[in-house]
Amino acid sequence: MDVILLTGPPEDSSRDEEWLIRFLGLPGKRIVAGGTTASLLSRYTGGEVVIRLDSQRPEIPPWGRMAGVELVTEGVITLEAVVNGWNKKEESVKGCEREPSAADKMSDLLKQADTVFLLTGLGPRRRELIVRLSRLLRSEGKKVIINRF
Amino acid sequence: MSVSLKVCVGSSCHLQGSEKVVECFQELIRTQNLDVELELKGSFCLGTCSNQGVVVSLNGENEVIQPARAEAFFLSKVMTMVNS
Repeated sequence: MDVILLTGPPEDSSRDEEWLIRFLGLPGKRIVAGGTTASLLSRYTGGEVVIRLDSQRPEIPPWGRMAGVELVTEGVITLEAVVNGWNKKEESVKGCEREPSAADKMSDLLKQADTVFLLTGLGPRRRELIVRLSRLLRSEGKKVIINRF
Repeated sequence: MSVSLKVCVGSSCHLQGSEKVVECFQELIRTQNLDVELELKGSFCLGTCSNQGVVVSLNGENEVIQPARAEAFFLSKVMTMVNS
């Protein structure tokens, strides 16, 4: 299974469309990480982001869904939680089932993948997190393809 | 007509305490039995980012509120809309 993760936006806004088309054209499960990124995609496809507020945590914003996209999350806070928490799982409280956090949802999807495409844009913080994430994915034997925009 | 209330839960608003605002609104909707009249939604960006608080949108009008003022905002402005 392939996972395609979109996080940006591109440094040069004239590349927005090329970046979105690349994302939508790749077959696999799609993740969008970032508010601006989600807004750009939503404007492009006309799809609405529906957020599951019950999945929010004090330290991580909630996740959502939109048509054609498996998971929509906030950007750097969530990516940082995924990278820093890669080897631990949130403890579930017995008898108290709650929505998984955005970071757990993203980690679960990435861990299921054979190949991960990372389509990344602006921001040194974001790029650093993508590099750290790609190392973790490769250490688990996954194929990682990074496209910088 | 049902009232639309949105809370921004994007990076900046999360750091300003959007989680507490959402929790406060959810609790008030429960205790006041407003789940029919009022639709609470999240957004990853409402377009008017501020470092003064959390952006909320009441029937399409944006406002910036402090988490500590969330209940007061709800009881005055939101309830007025619901009852009008």
